[in-house]
Amino acid sequence: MNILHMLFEILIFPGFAFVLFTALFFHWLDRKLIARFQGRIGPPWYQPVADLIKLFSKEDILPVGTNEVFATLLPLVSFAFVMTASFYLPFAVPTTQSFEGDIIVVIFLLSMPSLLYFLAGWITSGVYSILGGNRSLLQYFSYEVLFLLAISGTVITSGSWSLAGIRSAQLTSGSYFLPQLLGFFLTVSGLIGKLKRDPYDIPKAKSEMVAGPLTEFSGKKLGLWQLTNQLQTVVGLSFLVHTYFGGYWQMGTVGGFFTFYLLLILLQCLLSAISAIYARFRIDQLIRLNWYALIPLALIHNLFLVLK
Amino acid sequence: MTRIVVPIGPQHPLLKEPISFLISLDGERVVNSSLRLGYVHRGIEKLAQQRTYVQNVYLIERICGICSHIHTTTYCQAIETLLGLDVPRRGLYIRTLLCELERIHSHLLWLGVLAKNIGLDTIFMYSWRDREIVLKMMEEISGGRVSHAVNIIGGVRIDLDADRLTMLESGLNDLNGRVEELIGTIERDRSFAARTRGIGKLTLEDVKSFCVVGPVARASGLDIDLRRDAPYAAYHELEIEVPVMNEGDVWARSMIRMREILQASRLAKQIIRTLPKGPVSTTAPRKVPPGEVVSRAEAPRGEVFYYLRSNGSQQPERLKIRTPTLTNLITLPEQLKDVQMADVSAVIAGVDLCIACADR
Amino acid sequence: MKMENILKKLIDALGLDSPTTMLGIPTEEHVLQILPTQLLSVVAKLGEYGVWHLSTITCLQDERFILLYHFWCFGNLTLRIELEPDDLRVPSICPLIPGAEYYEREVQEMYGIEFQGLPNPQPLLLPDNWKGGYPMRKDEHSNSSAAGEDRSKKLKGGLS
Repeated sequence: MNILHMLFEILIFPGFAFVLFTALFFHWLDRKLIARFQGRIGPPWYQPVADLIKLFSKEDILPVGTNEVFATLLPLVSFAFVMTASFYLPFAVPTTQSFEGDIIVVIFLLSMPSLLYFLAGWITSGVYSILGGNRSLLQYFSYEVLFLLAISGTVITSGSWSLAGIRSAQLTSGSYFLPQLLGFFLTVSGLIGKLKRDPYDIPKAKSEMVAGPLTEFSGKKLGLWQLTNQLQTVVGLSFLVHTYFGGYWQMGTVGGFFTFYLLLILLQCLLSAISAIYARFRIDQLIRLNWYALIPLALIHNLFLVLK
Repeated sequence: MTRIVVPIGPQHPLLKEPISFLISLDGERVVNSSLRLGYVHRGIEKLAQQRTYVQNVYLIERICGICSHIHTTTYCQAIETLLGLDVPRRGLYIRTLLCELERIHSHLLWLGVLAKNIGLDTIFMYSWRDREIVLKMMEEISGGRVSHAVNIIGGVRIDLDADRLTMLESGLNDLNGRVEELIGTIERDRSFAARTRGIGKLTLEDVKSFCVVGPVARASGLDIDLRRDAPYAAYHELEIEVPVMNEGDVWARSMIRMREILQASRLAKQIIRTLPKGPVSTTAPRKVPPGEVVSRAEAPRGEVFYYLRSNGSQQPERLKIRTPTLTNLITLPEQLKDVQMADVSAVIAGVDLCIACADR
Repeated sequence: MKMENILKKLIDALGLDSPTTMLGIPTEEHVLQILPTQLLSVVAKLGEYGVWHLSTITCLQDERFILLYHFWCFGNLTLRIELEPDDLRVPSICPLIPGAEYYEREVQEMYGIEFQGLPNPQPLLLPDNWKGGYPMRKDEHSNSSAAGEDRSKKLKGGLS
């Protein structure tokens, strides 16, 4: 019975199936919101599922000169990384045991897909893939640093390297969202880079890079890449909720679950609005913005938190 | 440092029409570029020699899917000059009205393409939504959204009654408000400026030596507009201001085009208010006397040039067409020098290419 | 400067024939008949006088090939050059007007007139492997080009 219960938790709720469903739902929400911001109608609710089914049933083509083993492994592995990360970020009910330092593990698991994304560009032989891969690596060194620095603000204040510790610290002190508003927005900026959403979609800028590293992928592999990205969005957002809105925890199991979901939706609205408002950055503009403005800002912010 | 050659085109998400660029990169910087035309070459100049003058009106209209009306205008006025035909003023006014509506349509379309290319999809959606208003107006008066078939030799095919004029006026008022909002947005938006300012620069000397025409020339400080400098159709009776800027970059080009939309809608309203009474067309004789004629008009992208030679038969002996895109294309390798790869899309969009026009 | 004055100065400076006219909109177009050898000096002089805008180059085929250089600068001017039937060469004006490159390339591939000193003589509109002659010439017909013939032969082969 206990094993069945665990299996249910891992595979269905709040595990695998539920996370996947959430990812697809948020992908739809994102598209719908952007469409509404742009004065369009937007897709029906089942569109992400339909897209996925379509991609998975399409013929899988790889150009000559591509390492087939890697091309198959990369999307699978990056999907696995993000999926694993999702188990550390419980949706309402803590399933996995939180341990000291698990926040590092989650950050690692969330940044791996970006590296694999770069590799995906590198193993295929197309010009766009290689250029897009280079760009994604360049971008990686700016937003990743920012993300780490900004998120460590919460670690400093709570004095704990575990997600559970950060959460419970917020139970007594209230959510970090308001006191660390600056840190929150810096983290969001880093997260947008991680997710390669507009305006940070430089590696896959359609107007010059076609689809960046994923140009040569098709069929199931492309579907898996897209699913990874959608999962990454949800996992990244719930990471934000855990670190900056930890106070939701006191709402109890059911109330907490709904508050959590509501917060996720609100954050998704924020991301969609940012996507709709800004033009794509140029890679040099992005790096300048990150290294000259945002990263120093995050450092000062952290210094301030330490001294306080 | 190894150089990477990036092919853009003939098929590429950046391009709406087939043209091919080969761009050599040093890191992210463009060191060299070349381009290749001819993917939509239809041999229209040769075809025109095998069709009668009247058939050619419909052939010429299909040169371009954006500025179809200006081509027939230029062609019809060439023949009317050859025939020595006096086109009724009302016909000329309606012809001019369509020209201006088409300018609005073309510039709004262009803004969308530029915005899309720099990743500002929202502006793309907004400008194409607003473009729908002018398309609907054109459909209402002519029956076609982009190919209007309004021009005939000796005037125009359609007449405007009072209802249509009110419809046009209110449509233009609606459009004006929206375009002003769009202009306000892109003028203030810092991410738009960051991607367009200082990019694709052309100096006044460049513009002169490359014979550049249209908004691209005007954005570099060249005060040239055929509607004012060599008036055709009804333009000599209308008040025209020509916006000119000196920066010569993509940003200046966008501002010029945005102001031209407002200017065009002012002109259109002027035409609606002062539309003379009378017939819209006159019967043109079938036989065109031998002779040569040069006809120019200001398309949304600049000067359209037609040379027509008749030998007295049913078909023109030679019809030479030169579209503004072909002229402005020459500057692209110059503009692309030393820009970032990410700016290639902005530069290419900034020129406002119409490849079907350039290839003919 | 008015186009009439420019013309007068040009004719005085280089000793050319007096201009004729052809129809234009809104005013008539001045036509100046010159020899291929005079082209470069005339264009250079025009540049000095501030006529910089070349609208296009038209090629006509009568008994001889005729080139028309259409200038526009707040007034119209067309230079007319008749080529000798056995010498279809003319100097390129690209060094003086870089913007003339595409016009010259187009005339070169469509009519087979050689522009000497053209910086980039590759075809502009026709395919790189085009072997169908000069499509705009009067003895070329639109559906009898080599490429067209090849394609029709292939099609027949496939059907039979």
